[in-house]
Amino acid sequence: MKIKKGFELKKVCGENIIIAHGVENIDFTKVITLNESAAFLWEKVIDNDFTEDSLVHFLLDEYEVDQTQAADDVKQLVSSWKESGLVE
Amino acid sequence: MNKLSVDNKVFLPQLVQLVNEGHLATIIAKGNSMRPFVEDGRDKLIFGQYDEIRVGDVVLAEVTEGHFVCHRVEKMEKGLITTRGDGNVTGTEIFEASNVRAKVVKIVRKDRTYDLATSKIWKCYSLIWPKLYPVRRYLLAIYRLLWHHQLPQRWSNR
Repeated sequence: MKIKKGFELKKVCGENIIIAHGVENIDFTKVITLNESAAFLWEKVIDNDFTEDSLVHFLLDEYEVDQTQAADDVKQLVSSWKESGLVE
Repeated sequence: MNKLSVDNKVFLPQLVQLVNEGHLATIIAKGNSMRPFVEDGRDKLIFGQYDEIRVGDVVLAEVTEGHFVCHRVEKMEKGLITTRGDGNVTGTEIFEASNVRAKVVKIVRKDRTYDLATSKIWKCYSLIWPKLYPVRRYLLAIYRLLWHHQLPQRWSNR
């Protein structure tokens, strides 16, 4: 899977906000924000194809977390990215 | 879903930057200064670039560094713009055209979108409301009473 074209992660007031480029109206009344680790993963895969496994791999490299926890977290994250229409 | 609150001083310059890049930007209205049309927390303001500023427009201006207001243009003379919030009785802001950062191009009021350039309702309201200024204080008090069940402050001390 990959992140759909046109989505950009922007730091606005200390928050990692997803902005849809090419979209005429940027609606700050409904924003998607990512926490630090989700933002980290986003930056890692923004221009590439990825799998849940590759995300787990990045997490394990960067953070002190065990495999199971990382896998669970990634599952949840990818599910919410899909739900928000960010990923194809 | 969580609510994210950010300081105007930090957020609005970023909003202005996006507007200057050609986007429209929507935020939730904060404060009572544009009552009765725009209500705090309920309605939304959609900002866009401004080309020309006219009396009656609602503009976002940075009156001093980091301090923004978003009110209706009441007067333009000698290179200075005077704005007054629709929901304000006293108090105007006076600044130069170069202080304007963006213009409100649409308002979402009670989930209905009004394009300020074309909406007949907005145009009528914009024509009439400023003219009612001599009785604005009383109209706003009635508005607060009816819609917010708020008595004037001095009454509650009796």
